[in-house]
Amino acid sequence: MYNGGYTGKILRINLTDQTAKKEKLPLKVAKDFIGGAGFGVKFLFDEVKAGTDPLSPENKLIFAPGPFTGTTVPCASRIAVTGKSPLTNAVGMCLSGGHFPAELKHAGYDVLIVEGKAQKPTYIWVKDEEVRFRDASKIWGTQTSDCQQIIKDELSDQNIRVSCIGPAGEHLSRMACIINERRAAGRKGLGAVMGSKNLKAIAVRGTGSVEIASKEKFKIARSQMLKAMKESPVLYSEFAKTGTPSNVDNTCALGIFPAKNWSATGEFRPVEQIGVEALETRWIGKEFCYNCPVGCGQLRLARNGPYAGILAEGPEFETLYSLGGQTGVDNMDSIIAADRLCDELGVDTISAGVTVGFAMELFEKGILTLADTGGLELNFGNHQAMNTLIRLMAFREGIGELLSDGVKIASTRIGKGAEKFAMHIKGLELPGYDVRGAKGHGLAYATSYTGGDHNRGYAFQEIFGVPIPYAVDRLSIEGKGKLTKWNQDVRAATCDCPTMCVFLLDTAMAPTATENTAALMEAVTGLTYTPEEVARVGERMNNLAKAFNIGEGFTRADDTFPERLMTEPLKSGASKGQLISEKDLKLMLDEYYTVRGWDVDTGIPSRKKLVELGLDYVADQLGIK
Amino acid sequence: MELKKILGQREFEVSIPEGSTVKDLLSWMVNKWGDQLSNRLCKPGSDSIFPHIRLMVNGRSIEFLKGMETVLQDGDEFQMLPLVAGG
Repeated sequence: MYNGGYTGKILRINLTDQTAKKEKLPLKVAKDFIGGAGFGVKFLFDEVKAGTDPLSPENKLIFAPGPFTGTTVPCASRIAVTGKSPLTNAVGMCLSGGHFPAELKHAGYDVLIVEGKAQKPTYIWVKDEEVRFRDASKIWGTQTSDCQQIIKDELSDQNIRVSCIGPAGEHLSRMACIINERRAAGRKGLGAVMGSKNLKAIAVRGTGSVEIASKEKFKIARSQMLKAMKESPVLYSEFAKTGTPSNVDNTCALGIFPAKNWSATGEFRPVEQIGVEALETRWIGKEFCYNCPVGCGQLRLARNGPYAGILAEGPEFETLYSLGGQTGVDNMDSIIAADRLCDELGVDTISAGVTVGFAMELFEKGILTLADTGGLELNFGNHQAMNTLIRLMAFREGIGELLSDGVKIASTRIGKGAEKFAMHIKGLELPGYDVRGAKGHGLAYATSYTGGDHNRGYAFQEIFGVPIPYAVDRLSIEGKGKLTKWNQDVRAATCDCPTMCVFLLDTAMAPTATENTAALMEAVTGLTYTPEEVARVGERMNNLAKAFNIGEGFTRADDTFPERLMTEPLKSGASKGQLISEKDLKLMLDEYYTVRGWDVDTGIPSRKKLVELGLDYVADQLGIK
Repeated sequence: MELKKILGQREFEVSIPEGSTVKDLLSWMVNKWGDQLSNRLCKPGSDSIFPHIRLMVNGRSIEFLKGMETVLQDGDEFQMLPLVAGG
């Protein structure tokens, strides 16, 4: 049995009948899936039937921190939020940091499952053992920072942590996110799922603590981790000072910073305007997640023009891509303003920016006209139009109604060849790496169970040149199937399931990631794993997520790229001439499915593989013989 | 950032003798910018580059070319990229 790390309790909240039940966390679930995304995918597969409408009461939202969350393990205050995505109809899973995850653990819960639908706007108030359903009519319509503050004031406790939606979630935008503090469970439209349940917020106050199984082992495991962090050549010396935006400079140098809806990558390289130096002049402080010694969150203040005085935590690299490169906007202050706007309205910055850039290309090509946009001049680089359009999308007003559900749905509704310019995979708008110049990273996008997602199999070997488990040539397709499996399984097992910060993997822990997770698991929970067994947890979770998607009708044909990436070579920069042809994709997929033990023609996991992972019941349920 | 501060610029052009390799170019640069640069690239007293500094020619890591012996051609772009983290 586990005797630390886990509180042992699942809190199941039903909004339809306003009940809250406490269930025991089964040992086998803890051992097989560790926590976080592992728990999310497990409960989603087991409890949400295939074909469920993501915006119906039958969909569920599973909030799961990890076993180290709320302890003094550094960088572990993260929470996975999982449900069926309204944007992709596949598994929707994303993680957020901050203080909310630790607060939920301190309140006594390993998992919080929300099901059903409230009759009227509601928020949930969890204070340790006590759970209350409270009227949210007065806060319905508020922006996320106001919402959090009003709840704290109403409950007379400023130490409460709140996870909530903004107007975008209330209007069921399929790009809506869930915000806690200034952090986002950003992608896959889970904010719309929350909105569909009439759930404005979850407020939590926990006064307990998390047990440690072996204090002696914990001291050793934790100090080994801190030592690895200290020895990193970049974690404290670079990353802690600049956060993720230094990747603008890096990806521009590699010729893979996507620009103008991926039509001008390598050509439009706004390093001076929106790279690290431009951000340095707007830096005013740092923000730390609970018990994080790094503090990559950077507070920045817009300095010029109509945006002067607007504060944001960020913009992160991905936001500088989506609201900068992708839209052709190189006005730093307008990006800070748009970043803050997205957070306040509760909309994912990546999906929002990609959708704005998509609309800009359609406008420049005459597919969308001034009559369609309501007079909005949607040219690339028009930062005022970008900020206006974000607001319209969140409230579903004017042209915003057409674009509010992301590029896949919008392109189908627009027609006239717009599909060709919709940069998404499985409905999820693409993140900030033009994978024509990073082929393994591209394969991770194509095969991620969440759609076009950089965080499920990030190829740091290609993007940063980290030679773990071995060095790879970013422009080659050979061996990328094996590499992608390693990236997906190790990342799932050492970051997404234990809910550890991914940036530690990239900058410090890659050489010892599975060993570190095994040591911490034994010290904190008492459950023992070999490093191979840790990686196996990631493989199990990725297979189970794949199985969920197969139940939803996804096939090999969905593991693909937008046409542009397969037919238009990059025109300039350090990746000039690169693309991923259909043949290249086929070869990479064949290798990937083979190393995964999946059928090469269909991409369906073999019964042998599922049984090997202890997922016999999944094979039975899907009729895999 | 640090490299840029040492070199004083993000990008510049240099003329080097025909047949020069990456190693030759680095020697020229270390000669010009001294210890300040060499200490950022390798441990004092060593000539092996830190693993967190990526050297590229025309966008390709030199380990997939001929390493330090890679010969530079007219018009080639040589890059030194320090390791960063993503987003």
